[in-house]
Amino acid sequence: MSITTDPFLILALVTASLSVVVIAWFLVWRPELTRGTKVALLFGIGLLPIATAANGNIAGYHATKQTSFCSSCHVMTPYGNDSRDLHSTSLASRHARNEAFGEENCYTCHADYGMFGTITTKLGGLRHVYEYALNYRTMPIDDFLATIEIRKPFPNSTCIRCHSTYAPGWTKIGDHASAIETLRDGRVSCASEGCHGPAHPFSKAARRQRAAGAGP
Amino acid sequence: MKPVRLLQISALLTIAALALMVWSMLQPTPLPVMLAMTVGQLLGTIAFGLYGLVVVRDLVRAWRARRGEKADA
Repeated sequence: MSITTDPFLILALVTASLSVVVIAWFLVWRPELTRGTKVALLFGIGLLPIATAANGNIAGYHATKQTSFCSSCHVMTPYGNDSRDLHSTSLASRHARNEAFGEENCYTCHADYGMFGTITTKLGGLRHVYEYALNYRTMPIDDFLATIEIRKPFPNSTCIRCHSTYAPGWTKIGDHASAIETLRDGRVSCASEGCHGPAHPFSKAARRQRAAGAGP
Repeated sequence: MKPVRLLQISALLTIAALALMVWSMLQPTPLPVMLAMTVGQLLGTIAFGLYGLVVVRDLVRAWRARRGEKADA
């Protein structure tokens, strides 16, 4: 969602502007501290900034779902580029070409499922920022790709919420039918090598190259 | 501290908070977004708290003055 289409962003900018006008009037004109001045400041210092924060938070949450946000850290840039590459055949890129994923394709797959999915996803995102700021900010991208691992196995529930294991088109595939219980309870990952993964073409290939180089 | 001085500090803190919030909206990358949602909102809360302090002090002063007038009467 861009600056021109997100109503929360527009509202936040409007309320911030109005607040600045009131504050500038108070600081530059220096009016007497009457009841009217205090009411004006209630808007300038209180209500309008609160509205800015509320709308800004919602706009911020929308912004943090965008692929451009995820790939703004240099270590994630190759992942974002791959998802946008129309010639890429990676699982991530093929899903990103689906209109339902669009510009939120990182978030759509990596968000946790369930009632508190959004909250746990945002907490996980905070951990990403923490790790990036303290450990990976200056790391060369080749080193990063060779060492990075997803923190916990990619949950099949994320895939299954679209690709239902009860759909006839899914169960008629022999590999699915033979492993249906292990797929449902997550013992075998949909994104494992040999099945549909790896989802991104970098990490595992880079690790294999490194291992081959370091081997006897 | 005089009420006007408190409100001036509050106004400046609000400007700083708004600047951080607007920065995060115009450049939604991790650093600005996190600064806006933490430092920005903390500054905004402190600013509004100072405004509230001025209002409460005024109300208390007015209440005491009224009570004094009643006692004199």
